[in-house]
Amino acid sequence: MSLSRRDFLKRTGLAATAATLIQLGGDPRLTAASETLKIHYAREISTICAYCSGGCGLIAHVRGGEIVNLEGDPDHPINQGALCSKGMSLLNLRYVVDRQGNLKANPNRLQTVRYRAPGSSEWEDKSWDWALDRIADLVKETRDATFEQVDGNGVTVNRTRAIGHLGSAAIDNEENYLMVKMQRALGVLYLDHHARL
Amino acid sequence: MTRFSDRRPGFQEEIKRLKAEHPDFGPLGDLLGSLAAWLDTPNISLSPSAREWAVREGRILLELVPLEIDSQDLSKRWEKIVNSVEEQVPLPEGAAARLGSLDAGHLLDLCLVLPSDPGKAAGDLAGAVEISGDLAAFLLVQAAGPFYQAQARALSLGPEIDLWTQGFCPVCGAHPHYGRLEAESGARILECWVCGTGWSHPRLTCPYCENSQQRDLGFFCLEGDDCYRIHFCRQCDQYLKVVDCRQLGREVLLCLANIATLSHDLAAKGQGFRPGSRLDLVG
Repeated sequence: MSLSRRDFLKRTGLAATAATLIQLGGDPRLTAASETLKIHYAREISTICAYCSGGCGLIAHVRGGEIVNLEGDPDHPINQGALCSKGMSLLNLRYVVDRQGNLKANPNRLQTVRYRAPGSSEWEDKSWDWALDRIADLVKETRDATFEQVDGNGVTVNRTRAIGHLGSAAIDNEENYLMVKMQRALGVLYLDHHARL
Repeated sequence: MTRFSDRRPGFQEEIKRLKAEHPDFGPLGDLLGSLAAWLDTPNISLSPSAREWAVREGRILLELVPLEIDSQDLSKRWEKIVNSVEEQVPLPEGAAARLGSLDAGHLLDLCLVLPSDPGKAAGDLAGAVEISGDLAAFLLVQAAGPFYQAQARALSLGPEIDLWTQGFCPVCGAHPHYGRLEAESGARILECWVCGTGWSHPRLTCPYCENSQQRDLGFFCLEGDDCYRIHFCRQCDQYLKVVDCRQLGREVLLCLANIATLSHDLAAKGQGFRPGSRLDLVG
């Protein structure tokens, strides 16, 4: 936001003051009120690093709806402000540097669900609602077609061996608990993880 | 670790550095340099267990070991302050005489109420001697500061300071006016403008109303100066001045940097925020 000198003086009431502390210091009020005084606002938003299961805390600086800086969250119990080299480069998921050395939005960053139908060579943009419905339909269809209540020996197993579930290194304990609970309820046996730590 | 800011070492050098960085700071820097005074550390102590109990209970140490200000020492200091200010400030007619003849008991009362209610203390003094409130606040800080700093030095908190989670000073109870982002970790350390005690406080929580809703919190910088931030809370409309030592590239004596950056206080007021400390140095 920009304030003109006139606005600044009006707001700070300079005209009405006399013998103030400010006058001791060669009147920094006037310096601050130079014609082009501009104020840059930013918000700090806490978030979690998406790279690994460490779950390091981040503070994102947001200005005008754009992330302008990412740093380790000093108040986060896991990383206490520190970040690994990958975490430090996380901002590059949003931005890339062009040949002139300027930051610009990363054109390769996916912002929608992309779908390629079986046999097709074309990718389509889809909504998240569409994608979640599609996944649910396929899970239901596959489970119904392959569900085994008893095995060959007549032992109750309530399972499907046609579905596997791969977890994420970036999800937390509570999310993992819920995912495993859901998969077991479906009768899924094959649960694995792609943890890198 | 203790986070008490001992202002004695490097005080004059810091004034020189700030004068170079902030040309407007010159006369005020000279005045602060001439007013610098360091009292002997009083012979008082508090056991580690008592300190830890106080910190855990959220009790300030001056409740346990009340500050005793020698009124003779205070009067001498006041006289020196008035003389120095009179030489450098165009005071209203008769103000210097009124300041010089201020009743010692009244001055002592103002110094004792300063941490908890600087607005009232400054307002009382301003009314009594007919000077502006911001100048009155400045004079009271200069008068009372060395006594509180000596007391805080004697009671110096150790590792237990990390248990302190409040938004006010664990030694004297004043609400902070400024703080810094540590050069290494980026942690926000609040520092008491009265006694110099520093303590860590979460960056994404308002120290004044404890609001942690991130949509209400933010900061702003003046163009071309990313080293000094105004952290604000839109729930209570109060602000805290913060020096980003990572940007500045060095640690800084906040009590001096605060005076060198009064323009930021003006900008904060211009944006509709009040100082959460209730220490108003910009009229």
